[in-house]
Amino acid sequence: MNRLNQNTNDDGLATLLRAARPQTELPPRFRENVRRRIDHGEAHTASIIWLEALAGWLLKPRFAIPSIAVLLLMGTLIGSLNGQAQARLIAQERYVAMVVMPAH
Amino acid sequence: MRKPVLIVLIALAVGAALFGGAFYCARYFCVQPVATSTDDLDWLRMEFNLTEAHLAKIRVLHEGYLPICEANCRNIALKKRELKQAEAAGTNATETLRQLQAEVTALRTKCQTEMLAHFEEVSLAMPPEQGQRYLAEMKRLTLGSHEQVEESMSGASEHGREHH
Repeated sequence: MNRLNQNTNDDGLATLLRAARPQTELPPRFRENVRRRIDHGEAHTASIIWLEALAGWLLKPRFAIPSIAVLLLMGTLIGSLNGQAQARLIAQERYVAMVVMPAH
Repeated sequence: MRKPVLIVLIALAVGAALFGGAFYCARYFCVQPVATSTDDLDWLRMEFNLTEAHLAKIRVLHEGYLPICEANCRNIALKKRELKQAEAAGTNATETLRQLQAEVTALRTKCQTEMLAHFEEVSLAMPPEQGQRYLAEMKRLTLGSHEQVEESMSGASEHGREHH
């Protein structure tokens, strides 16, 4: 009996609350926008995790020292190949300028 | 959020600086000795892997040829100046101008013939395979450019004919 009264009171309260808060129309594509925001938030979190992992990896000496060595080695190798080609070209130009009849 | 981005950016900058520094240092040490050298035969040594004995033989030929080359260039320059003066003076003697032009052409032919003879001499002073490569390369560098000009001019004239 007591419970029946309570239910009747709750229904009344709900009706009163609905009346106090006027129902408004949801904007178009409301659900899709909410879903998109949630997805975007998840992707954003994933990129933060990825960046943090990369930053942590970069700071580890076990990774950082070999990386530095590889970069120095690659730079030296490519630089010397490029330099040799350049040196060859300079030497060729000098030789040709000495022995070839210039455009008179 | 900011700290990992900063670490990655700094790591990228440091990596780029290390790579760039190593690249330019290595390049500098390869180019500098050749750029400051005064030896005309550096290219032959580098390109054709010549021994000192071959290089010594070629140096004699090279030093013997340089005065000939200079004399040819000087003679052509003098003759060209003479031709220009004759043209500037408004000489109507077509025969004189024609003769001067023929002399310039003859001097150029002589210069080119002697240059090619020198290339052949040098190629013979090298090991056979390298000598052939040298001769082909020198012909490409000297006659090749003339042929390109001729081809481009004949191409241009044919192109012109199509339109006119």
